[in-house]
Amino acid sequence: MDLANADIAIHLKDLHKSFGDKHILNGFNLTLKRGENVVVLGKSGSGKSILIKCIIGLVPPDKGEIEIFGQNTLKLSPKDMDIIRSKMGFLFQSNALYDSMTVRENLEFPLKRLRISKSKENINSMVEEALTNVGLPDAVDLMPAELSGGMKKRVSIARTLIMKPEIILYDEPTTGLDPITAKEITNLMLEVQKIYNISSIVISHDIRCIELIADRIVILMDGINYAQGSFEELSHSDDERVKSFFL
Amino acid sequence: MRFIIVSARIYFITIAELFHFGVRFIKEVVRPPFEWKEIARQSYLLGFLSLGLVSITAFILGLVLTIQSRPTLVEFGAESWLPSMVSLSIIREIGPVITALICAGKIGSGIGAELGSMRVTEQIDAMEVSGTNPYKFLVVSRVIATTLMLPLLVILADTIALAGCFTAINLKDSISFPLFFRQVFVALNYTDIFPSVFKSILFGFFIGIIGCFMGYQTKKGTAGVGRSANSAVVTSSLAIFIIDLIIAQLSDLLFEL
Ligand SMILES: Nc1ncnc2c1ncn2[C@@H]1O[C@H](COP(=O)(O)OP(=O)(O)O)[C@@H](O)[C@H]1O
Ligand SMILES: [Mg+2]
Repeated sequence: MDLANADIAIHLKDLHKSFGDKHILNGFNLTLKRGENVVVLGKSGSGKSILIKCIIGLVPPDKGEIEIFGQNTLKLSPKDMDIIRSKMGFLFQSNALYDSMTVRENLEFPLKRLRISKSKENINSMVEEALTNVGLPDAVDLMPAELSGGMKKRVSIARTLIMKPEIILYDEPTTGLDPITAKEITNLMLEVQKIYNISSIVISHDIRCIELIADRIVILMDGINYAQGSFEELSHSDDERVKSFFL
Repeated sequence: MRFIIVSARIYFITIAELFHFGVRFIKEVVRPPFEWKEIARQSYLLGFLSLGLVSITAFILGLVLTIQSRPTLVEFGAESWLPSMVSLSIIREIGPVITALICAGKIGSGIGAELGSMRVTEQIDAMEVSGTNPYKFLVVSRVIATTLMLPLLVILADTIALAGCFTAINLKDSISFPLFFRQVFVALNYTDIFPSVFKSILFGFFIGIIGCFMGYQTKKGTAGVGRSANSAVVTSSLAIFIIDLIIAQLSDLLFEL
């Protein structure tokens, strides 16, 4: 890997994406350093989910560059992209747990598919470790339908953590949860961040979550990185449009 | 008028997308790695679990077809032709088409709804970021399973329908099993069996690929899932009749001249 970029996890340059004549991203730029937590803030429908789906390669951007660990991912073969993805976690807004599989099978899925480990014992202990880290050691044989919203989110985080990712992209991790559970999930995110030394991009509207998590906040508006700064800076901004997020 | 143009446009776009989806199948099916375990699991879920439904329907069909053909043949004094006549219509037409229609209803709608809900809840995206090609894992395995299972289900249905026929004859008359068996096979020819098996394979392929296509391209949340299951059944049933027509014409050209 390119040593010059060793402390940069993700670098986005001039990202464009439209659907028909609807311009969603219009030249978005972002640099995520290793170990940093960046929060992306934006109105509903402003293209936040599209942005992180571009990063993980689920949605191809129309124009622009995406570099992850110094590699231009838009030019990678599917095989090399899988190697990059095995170092990244993606937390879906809807959790996206496989309903036809138990919690255990959900967690085993990425391990088996990316051939991380072959031995059954090894896989079992990884599943246990991941579930313990999210505080759900007893849920291993339940089906997703039997879990509460907060538990689903935890299992979903466990499924991401089991790959020991270096970067996690969180899509609205606390949206739709009650305030207490939201606080718990936020603390869990902080905790795992510390245990595994993870860099992350967090999409969130939840001011209390943002205040705890964000090293830096980027505001996505009109398809560009409209403003950025610390929580302190942005919440006292002179720009009404920026300030309105913090009211 | 505008409405017709708009719907015709959507119709042709869908056909083109379906075609594209099918071409992708052909590309991916030959490229390793192969998902053997998933193919076996789907064959069990889609094939084995349809045995009961297919068997009951086939038995009733054999029975009813025999009961209803009987009076006409009796009128002409051609009662002894009953086994040959019924077996021909079962093996050439009724067996494959009815089995395929039942499977379009049971398997096609199931695939459409399952993949549709996986799409709208982002489970398909989740597979992709977990280093799995979801097309291969979900679509290829299901289409291979339906393509392999349908001919087997049709052969089973044909056999059971003939058992139904045998039962129906013995309700009014009596015919020994060896005689019945001989009469059935005297009437049958490889030109009856080959097109029937061939079209069963095609039916299986189209039920699978249409079900997967409808599910895979589901949009607009949970309401879209219902629509996908529905279009999977409607489109694959229509496809079954169109294939049936084409194969009938082709085998007529190839074998009867
Ligand atoms: N596949 C698609 N086709 C057309 N429009 C889309 C598609 N996906 C998303 N959009 C549109 O892109 C916009 C941004 O979506 P999204 O990134 O999900 O917003 P959010 O910031 O709330 O996460 C929305 O207006 C949505 O309607
Ligand atoms: Mg979103």
